[in-house]
Amino acid sequence: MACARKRVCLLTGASGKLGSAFCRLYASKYHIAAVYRNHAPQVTAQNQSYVDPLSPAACLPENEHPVFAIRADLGSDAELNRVVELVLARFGRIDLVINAAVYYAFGHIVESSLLLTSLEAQFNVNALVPLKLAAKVARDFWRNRDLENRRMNRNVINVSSVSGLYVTPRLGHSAYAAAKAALNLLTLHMAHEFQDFGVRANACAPTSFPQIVSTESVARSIRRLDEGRMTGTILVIGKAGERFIPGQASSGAAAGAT
Amino acid sequence: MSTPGKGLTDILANRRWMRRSDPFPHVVARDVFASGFYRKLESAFQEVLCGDFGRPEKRGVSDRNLPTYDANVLVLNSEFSGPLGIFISRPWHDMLTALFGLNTTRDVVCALHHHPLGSASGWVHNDLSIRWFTDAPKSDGINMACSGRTTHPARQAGMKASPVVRAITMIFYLNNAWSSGSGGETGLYRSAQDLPTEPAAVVPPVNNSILLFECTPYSFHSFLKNHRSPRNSVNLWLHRPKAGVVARWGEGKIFDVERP
Repeated sequence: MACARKRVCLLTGASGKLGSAFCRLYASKYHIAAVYRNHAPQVTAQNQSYVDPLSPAACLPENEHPVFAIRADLGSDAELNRVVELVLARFGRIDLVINAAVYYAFGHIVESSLLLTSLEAQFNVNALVPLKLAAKVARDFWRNRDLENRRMNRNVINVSSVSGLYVTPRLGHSAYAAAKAALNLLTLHMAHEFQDFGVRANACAPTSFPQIVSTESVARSIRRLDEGRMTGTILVIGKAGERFIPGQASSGAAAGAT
Repeated sequence: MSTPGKGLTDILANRRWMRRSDPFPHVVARDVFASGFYRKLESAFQEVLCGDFGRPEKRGVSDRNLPTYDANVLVLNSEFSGPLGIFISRPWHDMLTALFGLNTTRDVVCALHHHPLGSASGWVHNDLSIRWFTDAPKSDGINMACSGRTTHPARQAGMKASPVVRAITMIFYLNNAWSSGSGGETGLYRSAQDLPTEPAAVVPPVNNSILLFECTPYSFHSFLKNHRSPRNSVNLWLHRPKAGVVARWGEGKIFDVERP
């Protein structure tokens, strides 16, 4: 069972730029279950540690907070389920889910065969897997623990993109942007449904990193989302700073749901 | 053994290498050398590549007599100097030996490998094999007088030769234009029966990065087909006495072309 002081974070996309930065910055603050597809994250873990080639016996501070690395293809429902079961078996709880796995293939609709062949994968990794993972955690662990969830400030953070908010012409982002837009709305619905058992859900939508904002600044924004109390919002992270877009809830009838 | 690392502190940029246990113990690191020294290594490699070594007819030709290994291979001799000479220096040898805590013999084989675009994947193997050396060390004690996989060449030259076994494999990646999907990685495997295309882990040939592992019966690895660009590397093997390997794993685990 994990010690009470450190929150348990289930992080996907752990070997990506953002996932790696989050692990480097916050492995001392969280028990991180770091899920990756192919390349192991460049941080110390249960099966890897840093060594100084010129002083191989030296104890290194970088090895003090290993993550729990899990290799999995989250496109497989069986593997997704295995991940959640592994994390619960290892730590006994999950306090934070960060969906940071991403897949993109850019191309223009009338020219790019790559764009068309990647559609399912882009929507799956960027929108469907985050929902399935959060649903699995909710069903297996959160939904019967409403008081504990509120006390522990448990939440889901979906890493979206500004591409999911606006049309950026000529970049070939159509499928990626649509998948991220879907993720934004799924996050807002998730926030409404999960509030019944005291779990928050938010998205963060950064601009390009590390080109426009630093990867570390995005990781720090995620940390602030976890520490805060907001739910049902999209945190936009741009060159000018951060701003929240609150989710707009309306009744089904008034909204003309059909 | 000399002081490990003596002479290396100024050129090593990264003192945090990653020791991994899956699928077998190995060490990886990126940004190994300071950028100025790395550029010198690139230039030196490119100079050799532009010469005889890089010509298409040299593909598959090496002292290892492995025509199925789809690469140009140039084995360095003890006269080789310049920036690439760092890999056949005593400080480098001693650093790797200390890193793995092994009893090595100072017998070293170092080769430049160039896989032209579209080179075929290799085969899953473990590198635990015999090499024969005559005793002709350089002034720093490093002996590069490898006569090959059999004793015959040394005998034909009227010299005595001794068998040793590969102890540490090093692959240093340089002069590559690699990005995800390019291929050319080194695949790591759990079993000799694994398909080359289904590695348990892959090490991408990122420039100025390194892969190291102890040669054991279980250090299964293979080159993976490069789809988009050539794959270049410096490959190095350190060796150890055969008796210790036999005592640890048995003679049958060592690949020896002379064994009936």
